[in-house]
Amino acid sequence: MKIEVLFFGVLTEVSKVDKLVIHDVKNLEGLMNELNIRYPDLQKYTFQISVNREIIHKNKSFKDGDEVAFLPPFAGG
Amino acid sequence: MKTIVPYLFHGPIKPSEIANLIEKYSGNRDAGAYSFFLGQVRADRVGGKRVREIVYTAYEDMVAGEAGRIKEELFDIYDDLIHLEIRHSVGSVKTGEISLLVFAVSRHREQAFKACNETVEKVKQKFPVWKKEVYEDETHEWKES
Repeated sequence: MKIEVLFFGVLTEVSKVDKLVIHDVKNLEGLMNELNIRYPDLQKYTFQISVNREIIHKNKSFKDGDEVAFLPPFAGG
Repeated sequence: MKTIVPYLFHGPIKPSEIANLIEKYSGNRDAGAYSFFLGQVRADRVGGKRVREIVYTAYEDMVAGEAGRIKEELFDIYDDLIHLEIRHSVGSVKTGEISLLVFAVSRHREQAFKACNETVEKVKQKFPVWKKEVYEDETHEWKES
């Protein structure tokens, strides 16, 4: 199973990429564990998380092909 | 302006777009009022540095859904509303250029004013857009609304 992870705004400077593919993580908790190892500075930032363009507020199981995005506070206008 | 998704456009929004929109909707004889908002990039001074431009990025696939929800909500509240246009820039917008256009058309002025104001607030809260202020000395800072 693979999921696509997207970073936006200031978080692209933490991850150094806009997008990455991660294999074999079952849920959001697993993904956060993986990302906190790769990017320890991620924990310093405020962000929301969306799965398939819907913001989620608790742990969620993933299915193959899910798109998970890390969204810093919006700043439109 | 190149359209990315229906609500996002590459680069600054031209002031003439307002005239084009009025021309477009003037043919609707139920319309009695237009209200619009244009957001312009300010040359703020931050710690002795002056802003040169803002570079906007967006979660493009999510913007359309959010814009659709905003419009649905406002058309539910304001039964006088005829049309609501939302345009936001992505990419570089220099100081003195326009990055946001909201345009409301209604039968009477009260709902055009209210719908326009509420849409601007909702765009700022809900549009997945981020802005990087770039200063004249080439440094930058990510800003929140």
